[in-house]
Amino acid sequence: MNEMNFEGSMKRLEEIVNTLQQGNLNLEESVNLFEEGIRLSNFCREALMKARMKVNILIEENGIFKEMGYEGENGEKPQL
Amino acid sequence: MRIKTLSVSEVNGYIKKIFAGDLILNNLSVRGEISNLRLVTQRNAYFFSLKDSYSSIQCVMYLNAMESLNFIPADGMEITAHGKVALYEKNGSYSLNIDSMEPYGVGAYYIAFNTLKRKLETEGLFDRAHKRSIPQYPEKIGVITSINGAAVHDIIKVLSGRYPYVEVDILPITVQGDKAADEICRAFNAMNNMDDIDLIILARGGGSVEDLWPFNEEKVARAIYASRCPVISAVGHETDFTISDFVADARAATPTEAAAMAVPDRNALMENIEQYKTYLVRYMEDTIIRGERHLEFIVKSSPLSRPEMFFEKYDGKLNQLKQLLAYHMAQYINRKQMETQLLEKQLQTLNPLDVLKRGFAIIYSKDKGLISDAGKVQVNDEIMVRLHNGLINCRVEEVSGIE
Repeated sequence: MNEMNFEGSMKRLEEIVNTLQQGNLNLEESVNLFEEGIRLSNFCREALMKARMKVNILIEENGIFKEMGYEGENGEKPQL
Repeated sequence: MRIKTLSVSEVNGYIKKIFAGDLILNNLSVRGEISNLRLVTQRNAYFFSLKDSYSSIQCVMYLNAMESLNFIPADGMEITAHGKVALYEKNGSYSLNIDSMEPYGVGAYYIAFNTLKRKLETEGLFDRAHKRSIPQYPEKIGVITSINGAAVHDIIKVLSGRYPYVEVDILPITVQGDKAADEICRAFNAMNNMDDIDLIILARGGGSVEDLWPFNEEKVARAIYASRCPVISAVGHETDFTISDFVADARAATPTEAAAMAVPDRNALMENIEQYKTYLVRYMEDTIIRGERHLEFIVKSSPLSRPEMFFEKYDGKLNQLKQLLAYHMAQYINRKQMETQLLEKQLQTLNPLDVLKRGFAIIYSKDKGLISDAGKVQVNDEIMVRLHNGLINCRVEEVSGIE
């Protein structure tokens, strides 16, 4: 569960719903998919609800670009 | 004083010499508007006039010089022409013999734009087939824009409002002036070298044609084309089109729109997720209900509901076996009866009493002892003769032996 990312989870969730819609599954398979789907939908919703956008600014140092947290124009967090 | 009288040819020849020897007339740069442009094929040249508000001058440009132009001249176009002035001796007219020219002023941008656009289009840089699709759920978006403009602010606002799950890397650049194009190219290089960026937004707010010019430069176009990540171009306002827009994988009318194109909308996603979840739950409920019905059907239609069905086939078999058993039993009895009858018959032939029927008799003494020896009988003994159907009491009168 720790390795889940949003894109993968969302795509897997869509895939599960499609698979179920096509039918032809035995009970055990569909119960497994159902459980996975519920887990994924909870994960995706949580991820979206908790997300706070991270903004970096790339600063060049000796030819290498480094990410620095971006605080917005006035040193404040950008208005979100 | 008398001056020498010259022929017309001599005059024109003289003027031609003066023109030919003049430094300025042999290396001229002239600005003017093209008019009355025409091709004269017999002479392999275009003829036209260059004019300003007061004067005009005849111009000729040969086709071989024309081929090196990066734009197509047309009437009304303001140009700067380079060439020399030469006299046509036959009629004493002079003309500007042009070896090169370029568009002048705002028109120049327009022309350069169209020329580059045609060139890149021919090369296939705008081909649909080359356009990459914008990732559905980008994880990290690179934004190449000015750090000071409204564009960056708009983009951050929209991205965080729609899809805060995404991470944003801003690479600040100068968006106008001579350095801009090179900075944009460097930015593309830097972002494509960061392996976690999966989409690039190239953005700039509105501005004059000159301001937007870096986004019409060939090297920027090629940097976009070569980009590893898909690129959304959002330069200027709705009505501004730049070469960057044509090369990019997607064109947004404004930076705000670019941000909206780049990410899905959180609320719509939430709704989708809820719908998926609802579907999953309903699916499971349906599955359970269907399963229950199926089970019910099985229970109703199977031997479980009529257990005797289990035994029916055994019943038949049992009956069959019973009949078979009865049959074989009867057969056995018959056979045994016949055997008994036979034995009885055989036994009967051995019954001594049977012999009596054939006229034999058994003789008993008075005390019922069987007499089989004449020697044991004496005269006057009472004996009993048994025939098959009766007894005769007798008295012995004589006993004699038989030889």
